[in-house]
Amino acid sequence: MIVLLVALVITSGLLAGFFFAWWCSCMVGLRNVRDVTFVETMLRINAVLPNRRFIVPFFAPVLLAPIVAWMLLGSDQRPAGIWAGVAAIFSAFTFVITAGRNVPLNESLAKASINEASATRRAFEVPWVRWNSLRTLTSVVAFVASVLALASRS
Amino acid sequence: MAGFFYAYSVSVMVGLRETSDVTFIETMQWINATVRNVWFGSAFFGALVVSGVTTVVAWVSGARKTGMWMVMAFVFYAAAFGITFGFSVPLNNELRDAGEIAAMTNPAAIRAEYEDPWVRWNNLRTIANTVALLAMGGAMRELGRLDRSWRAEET
Repeated sequence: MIVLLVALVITSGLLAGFFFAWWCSCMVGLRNVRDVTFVETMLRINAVLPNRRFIVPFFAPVLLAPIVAWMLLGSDQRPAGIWAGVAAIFSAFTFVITAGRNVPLNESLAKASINEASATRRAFEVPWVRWNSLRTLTSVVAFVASVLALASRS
Repeated sequence: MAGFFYAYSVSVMVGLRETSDVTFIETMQWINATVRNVWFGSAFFGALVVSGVTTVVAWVSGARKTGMWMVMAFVFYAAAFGITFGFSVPLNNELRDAGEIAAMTNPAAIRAEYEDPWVRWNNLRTIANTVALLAMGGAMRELGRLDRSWRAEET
């Protein structure tokens, strides 16, 4: 039980920081590069994700949080169980945003032509950044809720 | 902060490995030029300062176990901080001083000097920050225990 809860804190923390880096660093730097550089960089990065080191923190929170919430609520750990439930809901949001918005954008980028880098970039950058901002927020909330679940479990 | 460096370890640098030298240099130069912003700064300096302050407060108020976890968090944040200023920042400065990509005669050589050491130090600070994150979790757990025992005493 405690092992699962600690694993939830670590993986949700890594995931929140991951999207945070993309939000306040990667996409801010890439805003200034030329269109060809932008498209090449995003294509290569998308092509190497998901990889083994990314997949665990990406899938763990959305799978672990509901299990942990259910176990906590079942063993009379109400406050902790509710926090884990909040983590489960926000992890699910993160997952749905990624699968429903960012992944389709990545897929259409992969199909687009690098010869029309400027148009390709225009269709991709602004919506991708917007959805990434939102999942940064949902994953940070999930992380905070996971920490509070750990703190309030007696 | 753990997740921030983790993103560079498992996504950005892995993807950039496949790109041309010019794309690599242009991307990293711009990422480095824009990273000193308020969001990154708050998280990067905040983790060190807050863990330091919390360590002192925990020891002074007699919360020994919380304090021990916080010492551990502070030490590992400080290690990541040292790696950043001792190795990553000098590498970033060299890359910046290499100048504009258009004027570079040998971008492959510039990239070669930068990429491997930067990635190695980034992996190390990702690990250091993840240990600090774990220690912070330990501290929160002890703090939760203390909070419950104080409340039990009050009632």
